[in-house]
Amino acid sequence: MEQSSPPLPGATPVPPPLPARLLLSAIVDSSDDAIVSKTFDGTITSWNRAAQRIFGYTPEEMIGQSVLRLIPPELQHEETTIIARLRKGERIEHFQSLRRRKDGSLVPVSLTISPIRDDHGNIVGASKIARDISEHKRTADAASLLAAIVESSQDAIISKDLSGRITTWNKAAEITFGYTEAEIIGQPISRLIPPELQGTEPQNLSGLRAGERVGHYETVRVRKDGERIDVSVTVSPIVDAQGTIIGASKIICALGAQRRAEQATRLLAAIVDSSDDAIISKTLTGVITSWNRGAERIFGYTADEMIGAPILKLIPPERHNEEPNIVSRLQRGERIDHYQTVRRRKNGELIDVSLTVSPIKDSTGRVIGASKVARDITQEKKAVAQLALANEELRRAHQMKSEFLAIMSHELRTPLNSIIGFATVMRQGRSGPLTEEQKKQLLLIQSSGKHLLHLINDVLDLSRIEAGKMEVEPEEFLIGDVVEEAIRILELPAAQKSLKVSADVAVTGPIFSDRKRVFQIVLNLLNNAVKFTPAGAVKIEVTRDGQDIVVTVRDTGIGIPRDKHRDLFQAFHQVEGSARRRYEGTGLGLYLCKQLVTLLHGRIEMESEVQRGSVFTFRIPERYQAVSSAAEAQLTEA
Amino acid sequence: MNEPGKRVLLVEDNLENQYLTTLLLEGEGYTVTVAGNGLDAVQAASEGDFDFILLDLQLPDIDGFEVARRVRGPGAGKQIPIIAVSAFARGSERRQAYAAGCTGYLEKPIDADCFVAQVQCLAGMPAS
Repeated sequence: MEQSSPPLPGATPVPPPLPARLLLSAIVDSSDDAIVSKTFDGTITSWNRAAQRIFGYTPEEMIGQSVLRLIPPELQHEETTIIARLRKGERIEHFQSLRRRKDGSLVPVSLTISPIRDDHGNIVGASKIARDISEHKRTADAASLLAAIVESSQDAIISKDLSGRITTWNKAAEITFGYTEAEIIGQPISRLIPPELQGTEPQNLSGLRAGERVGHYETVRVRKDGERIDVSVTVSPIVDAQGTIIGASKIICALGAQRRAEQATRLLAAIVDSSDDAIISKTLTGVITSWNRGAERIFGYTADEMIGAPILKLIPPERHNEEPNIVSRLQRGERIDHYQTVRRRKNGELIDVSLTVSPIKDSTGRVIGASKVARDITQEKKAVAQLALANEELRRAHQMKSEFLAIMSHELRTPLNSIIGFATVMRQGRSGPLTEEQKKQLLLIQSSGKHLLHLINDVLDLSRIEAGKMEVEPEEFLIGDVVEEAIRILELPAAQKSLKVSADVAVTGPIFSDRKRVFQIVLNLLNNAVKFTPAGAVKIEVTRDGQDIVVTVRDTGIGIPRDKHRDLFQAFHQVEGSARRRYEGTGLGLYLCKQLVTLLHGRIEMESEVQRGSVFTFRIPERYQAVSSAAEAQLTEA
Repeated sequence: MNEPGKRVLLVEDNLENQYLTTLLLEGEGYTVTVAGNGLDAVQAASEGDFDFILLDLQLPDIDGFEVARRVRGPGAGKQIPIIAVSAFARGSERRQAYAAGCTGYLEKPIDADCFVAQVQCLAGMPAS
C-alpha cells in the first residue's frame, strides 16, 4: 500500500529517444496516479489520464492553465512553500493535502513533487504525482471504527500471541476480569484460567496453530479478585497479511449477567403471557408488534394472526376516530389510564374494555410505540347493570311493602272488629244471661283481642316510622282529655291490682300537636306503669315549662336496674330475667314512644330505682311546628 | 218503628260487621237499613228518609269515598251526616273521607261498649 510510484521525469518537454519516450508515455498514461508537470510559475504543461479521472478536467482544459485552479483558496499558500523547496532542488514526498475537482468537490491527495531539470541540470519545473487517497482514508476510518466497536463491546475481547501472551485488552475485558490494560498486556493468558483447567490451554494453542476456530464453549475463568465466573468463549486465529497465524482473538461473555438477563426476560415474558388482561404492543402507526395469550383469549385472534396487523382491526368502525387522539397523546409522552371503550372480537362480538396505554420509548427517550393493556369489563358492566336492576326491584319491593302493610292493617282489623265486638256484646248480656265463669272467659277474649290490636298497631307504626312514612297530623286539643281517656282504658287492669291511678293536669288551654300520637305515648307509659307495678300507685302529671308541655308518669313498681337503662328505648327490648315471663308485650312500646316523641320534636327521659319505682318524663313543644327536613335530622340526632 | 232521629242507613259489605253493628244499634232502638254495596247505598240514600249514614270505606263496587261524593253530589243536596266506619287506620284515608263529604270518622275495630254513644255524638243527635 505504501509503495510509492518511482520518481518519474514525467511528460517532459525534453524529447527522449523515441522508443523510451513512447514507453514512458504509456506508463504515465496507465498510472492510477495523476501525473502532472508544471513550470515554476505554476503553468501546467502536461496532464495524464489519471489526472483527468481524479480532477475531472481534460488535458485541453488544463494545459496552459495555472495549477492554482486545483488548490482550494485556503490552501494556496502551500504552493509558495512547495515552489521554494523545489527551487532548492528538494523533492517533496507523500505530502497530504486537499485538492479541488472540476465539480468543486474536494479530494484528499498524497502529493509527491520532484524538480525537473534540463540537460544542464537547471531546474525548469516540477512533476507532480497526486494519489487519490480517499480509499485509503476509508480504510483508516474503518480501522478506527472497528477499534471503537471492540472498545464498546459488552463482551471481553482479548487477543494473544502464539506463546499465550496477551496482546490486546478491551474495556469489557477490564470490567469482566478486573485487570486494567496496563496490568495485563504482555502477561500470560493462563492468569485468567483456574488451576484445574490450566492443562487445557496448550491444546488450545496447538489447535490454533492448525487454524481451528473454537466457537462458544462454556468454561470457567478467574477474575483478578479471585472470583470464578462462568463464561462463554469464542476463539479465532489471527492471520497476518501473508496468511500466517500469529495469534488468537478471544471473545469472552460472562454468563452470569447474560443468564440473569435471560431469566429476567423469560420471567417478564411469563408474566405477560399469564396475564388475564390483553397486553399488546404496537408502533405509532398502529401496527401490532406483540400479542399475549390474554389478548388471544379476549379478542379471539392468535398472535400469528395479529402481529403485523393494524390495531384498527380491533376497533369498531364507529370508534376509529379514537385512535388518532390516543396516538397524539402518546406522542406527547402521556399515559392513558383506564379508558373505557368498546372493542371488537374476531367473531364480531363487541366487548366493553378498560384500556391503559403507555408510550414505549427508546434509549434516547423518543416515543417509538405503545403498550396497551386491555381488560375485559363486560362482566363488570353487566354486574353494574344487574345491581341497578336489583336496586330498582328493591325500591319497588319497598313500595309494595308499604302497600302491603296498609292492606294488612285493614285486613287484620276487620276480623278483630267481630271478635272484640261480639265478646263485648255477649258480656253485656244482650244475648242472654251468663254465668260468672262465662263472663270471665268473654273478658279474656275481649282483652286478648285488644292486645292483639295493640300489637298490630305498634308493628304497623314502627314500620311506618322506619320507612319515614309516619305523618304528623297536628290539631288543637286538650291534653287533659287525652290523659283522662288513657286512664279510663286502664281502669280495669288497675282496679284488678287495686292500684290507685291519679292525674294532675296543670295545663288547661288547648295545645297544638298530633292528638293520636300524644295519646299513644301517654297510654303506653301508663300501661307500662300499671303493668310493672304490683302494688301502690301510678300518677301522671302535666305541667308547662316555657314553650314545652312536660308529662311525667310515676309508679311505685319493680323499677329497672341501672345497667339496663341505656337499652331501654331500643326496639324489641324488655328487661331480661323473670320479667320476661311475667309481663307480656312486644318490647316495642318504649322504642315506639321514643320515636313518636322525636317525631313531635320532643324528648323522653327516665329515672328508676329497683323495687322503688320508675319515673318517665317526656316533653314536647306546646305548639308543633313543621320544620325543614335538615333541621329535623338535627333534632333526631340530638 | 221508624222513630224520627233513629233511622240509620248502614253501608257495610261484611256480613259479620252488618250483624254486630245492627245488633248494637237496634239495642238502642234504632231502625237499621243495610246496603251491601256502594251503588245500592247511593240509591237507598236518595230514596229513603234517614237521619244519618254509617259508611264502610272499602266496598265491592264503588268505594265509600265515592258513595259519600255521590250522596253529597249536585241534585242530591242532602245535608245528612255521614260517619265513616273503617278499618283504614292511616291519616291519609281519614283526610280523604272528610274531603269526600264525611262528617265523622270511626276506626274499626269499634268499641262495642260506647259505639252507639260515639255515633250519636258524631251525628249531632241528643244522647239517648
